[in-house]
Amino acid sequence: MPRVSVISNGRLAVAFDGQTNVRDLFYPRVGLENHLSGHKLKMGVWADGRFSWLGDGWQTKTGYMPETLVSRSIAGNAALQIRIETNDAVHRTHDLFLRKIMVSNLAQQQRKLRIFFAHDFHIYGDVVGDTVMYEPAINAMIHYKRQRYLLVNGITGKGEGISQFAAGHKELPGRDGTWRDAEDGALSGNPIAQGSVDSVLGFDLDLSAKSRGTIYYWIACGRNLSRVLDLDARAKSIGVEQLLLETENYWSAWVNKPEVDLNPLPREIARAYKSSLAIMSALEDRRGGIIASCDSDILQFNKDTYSYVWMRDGAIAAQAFDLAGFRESSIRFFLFCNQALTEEGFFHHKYSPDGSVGSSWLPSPGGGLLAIEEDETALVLYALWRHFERYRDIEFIEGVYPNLVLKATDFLLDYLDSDTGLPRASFDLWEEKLGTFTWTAASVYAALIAAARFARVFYNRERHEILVRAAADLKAAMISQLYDPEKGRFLRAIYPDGSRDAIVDSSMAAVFLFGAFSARDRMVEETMASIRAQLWIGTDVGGLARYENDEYQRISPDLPGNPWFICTLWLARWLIARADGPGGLDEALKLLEWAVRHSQPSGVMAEQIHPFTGSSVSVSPLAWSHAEFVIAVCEYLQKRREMASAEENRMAKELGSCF
Amino acid sequence: MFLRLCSIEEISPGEMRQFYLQGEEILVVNLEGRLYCLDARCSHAGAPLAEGSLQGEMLTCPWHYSQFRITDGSVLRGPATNPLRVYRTEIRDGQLFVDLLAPEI
Repeated sequence: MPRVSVISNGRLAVAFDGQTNVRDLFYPRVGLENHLSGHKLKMGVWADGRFSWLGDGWQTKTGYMPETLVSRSIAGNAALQIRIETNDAVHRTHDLFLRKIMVSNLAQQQRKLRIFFAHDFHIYGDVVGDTVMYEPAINAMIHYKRQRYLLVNGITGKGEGISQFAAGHKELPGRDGTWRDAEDGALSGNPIAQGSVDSVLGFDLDLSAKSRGTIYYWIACGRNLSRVLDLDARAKSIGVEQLLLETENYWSAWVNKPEVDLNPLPREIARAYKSSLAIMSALEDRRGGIIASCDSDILQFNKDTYSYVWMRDGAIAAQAFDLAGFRESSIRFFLFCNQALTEEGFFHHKYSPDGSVGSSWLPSPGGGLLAIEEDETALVLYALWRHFERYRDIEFIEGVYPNLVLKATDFLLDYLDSDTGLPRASFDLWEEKLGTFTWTAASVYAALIAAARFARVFYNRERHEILVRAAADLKAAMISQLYDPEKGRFLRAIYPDGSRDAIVDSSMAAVFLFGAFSARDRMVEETMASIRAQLWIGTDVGGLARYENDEYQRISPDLPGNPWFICTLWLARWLIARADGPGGLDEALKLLEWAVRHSQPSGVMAEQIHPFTGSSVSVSPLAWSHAEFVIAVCEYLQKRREMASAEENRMAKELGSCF
Repeated sequence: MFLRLCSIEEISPGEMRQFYLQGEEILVVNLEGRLYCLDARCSHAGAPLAEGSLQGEMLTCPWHYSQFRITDGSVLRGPATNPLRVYRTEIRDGQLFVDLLAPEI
């Protein structure tokens, strides 16, 4: 089940499924140490002698409070005559997961309800050696292992604390879990368990007919007992209501940067633009890493996740943050890159949010080739130049220039094939094949141009000339070897054995995306026309597939693949780039609306969507999907400004000629 | 001083939309063909009112469900306690102008 919302403060991140269950809880880094790993924190209700966990049998809806990273879930159960609205947030400065749960009794009579919370933590991602204990001094439950403490507590709107509790075992023969204990409406009161453990807490609500009661609930996260006790005391003294208001206001102020004028945008696109930035921020670790996704459901397929930092995805997210005016986020990411770069000047396949090298499936090719995706190194340099171009913050660039810029550039130069003039083979952006891909060549070209411009800024004329010449040679090699005049378009790749891959791949859009060629260049026009003709999904859902016969999570063999947000948004960006009048922009706007329409109701964009139903496929949210949307919106607004300015100049000239 | 905000055709009857003008956030509401300009942020906790819901003259805040009367900005239901500012407007040549310096109420 894809994640429908994620909330975070850069250290503590929490993700929800579509049935109001918490499914991922990361601490102390966003993307590292998932203490749920897809297991559930769930809520249940006991009313009139009946019990029900929120989920099946409930009508549920989850989204965000507008302009915030505070999620709002509404769950209703007609049979129980109960409606529950929950506001969830992670406080910005305190590592507290906060919940305000408003329970409405829809019945015509007074009722005594019991609300239960079950905690299936897997601290450090496993169940070995956990402890859970009830602490009577503060009336709270504490889960812990080594340096991770999770303290769970709460209070009703009438000031009453936890009324029942139970600690116990799970995932053992004959023991489903302590949550079973709640299903008769009463908990055993067992105070401690160790090993493979879970816990349940209960609160009592006495509600008159057609009335509402509130429970404030929190989980304090820390590295030791004293830290979580301190956070618990803060939650009690400040109050969850106030902490939620602080969080709501923080995010509302955060998403409303004045740098970008959103007035020209249709309302739903402006809304999606803001929520995309907030969701990207939720996937950003405070120390700079931007994870691809927090959705651990992909664990079910290959025992690994998307909770890693891919420098490609991160560089594109950094570019989006910069365009939207969030330079602090991009700076943190570039500093993360500066730390992670190898001595040789390249980036590995992916990284953990702590900067260590992540798991990989790229085999070492031998023959002097590297098991890397070279575009990841190139795109960081490209994004760094775009950052500097916008902010001119030479003091920051100076700090990363010797390592990140010079070392990476030297690597890119060294990795050019002296015979072909193209980059030597590395793995493609889809992480499937070893070769020299058009996407990679275009990204390396952009990086060399970026490095040349940096060299000029730092007045290294010799280096500037070398890099400009290398970039020009690379561009010429792209035309002579990666462009096929007979097909009238670019190729996808050339492989180490010399064979040419003519499959139509949406990533060939890179030839204009990173500035190697103009969007109106004939070769680009023809390439994009092929992409559109071959990869547009001819169902009611529409959208663009990655490439012909894409097998990854494929729904139908009758279609080239599933529609992807990023590929469809590249088409939008091309239409924007080549537009010379409002008509061209209208078509791009339709694609932006397509992206909004196929987001989840919460605004979350997945990696792919189902070509027949439009539902989310693969991980959700995907930072890259949101980043491409933000970039496309910024480019759309920029093009409108340019058109308006050109029109004003034209009119001024006309007026001038009248006098 | 009146400043141009938008074309009157941009907001259909029964709709509302937020605009940015000289650093201010303005909510424009079309009530049966008449345009009203108010503060775009809830007076309680700063929620974006354009994301709320409109029922006749009553606007409900999307965060904590405070309710306001569009015509005069008054509070109909808390938690908000302070009214919304309502700005003076003029329509000239199909364009909506708003006076940010002199709220009508």
